[in-house]
Amino acid sequence: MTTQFRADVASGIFAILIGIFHLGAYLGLWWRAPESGTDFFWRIGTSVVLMVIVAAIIGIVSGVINRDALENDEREDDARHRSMRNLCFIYAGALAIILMEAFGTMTPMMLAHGVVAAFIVGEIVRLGSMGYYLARGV
Amino acid sequence: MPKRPPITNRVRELREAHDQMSQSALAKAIGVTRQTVIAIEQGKYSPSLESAFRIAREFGVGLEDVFGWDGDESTKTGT
Repeated sequence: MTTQFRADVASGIFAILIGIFHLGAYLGLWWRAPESGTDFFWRIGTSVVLMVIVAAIIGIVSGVINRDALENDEREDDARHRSMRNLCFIYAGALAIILMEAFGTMTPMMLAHGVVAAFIVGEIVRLGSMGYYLARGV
Repeated sequence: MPKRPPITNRVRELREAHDQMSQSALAKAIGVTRQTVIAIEQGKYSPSLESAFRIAREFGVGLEDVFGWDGDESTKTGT
């Protein structure tokens, strides 16, 4: 497994966890829902910065532990591209659903968290797809 | 289940004929991961043309000595 792939998977898992955390907070399962758009913006902004940092740390640690590891691999790249395609399908579907509901009774905060939910589902599909494609050989 | 690519290969056979070369050593020589070499040997994955040439060069043989076509002739592209 390449360093890039490890960092990609790690950041994907982290993104899902962060997304679930924000969605849970909005639904009142823990912490508290964002009070304003600015509050939401800061939460998501901080999360994105954390995701980048986690990906960088995993990449560096993985690279240091396994110095001979390849930077990339054609089969992994292929699996990643196909998984990205599936992610785009999810985004397209989610966008259609969100836009259909956007002019109804949804509040901006509901819309924003709908997008977070779409990211979570998309990332789960992407990681699942990568596992599937690699297992079958691509 | 997805169809296997109609490309056969003798990678395992050639690897074993070359002083029992390990999958890791071949992977390193051609610039892919060991898992990719395993997938190629199992016939699950068809390598890129570049990797196919690298494999053939590594064993000092021609491309057709490593890879073969096991598909239906009527399914040629463009027909």
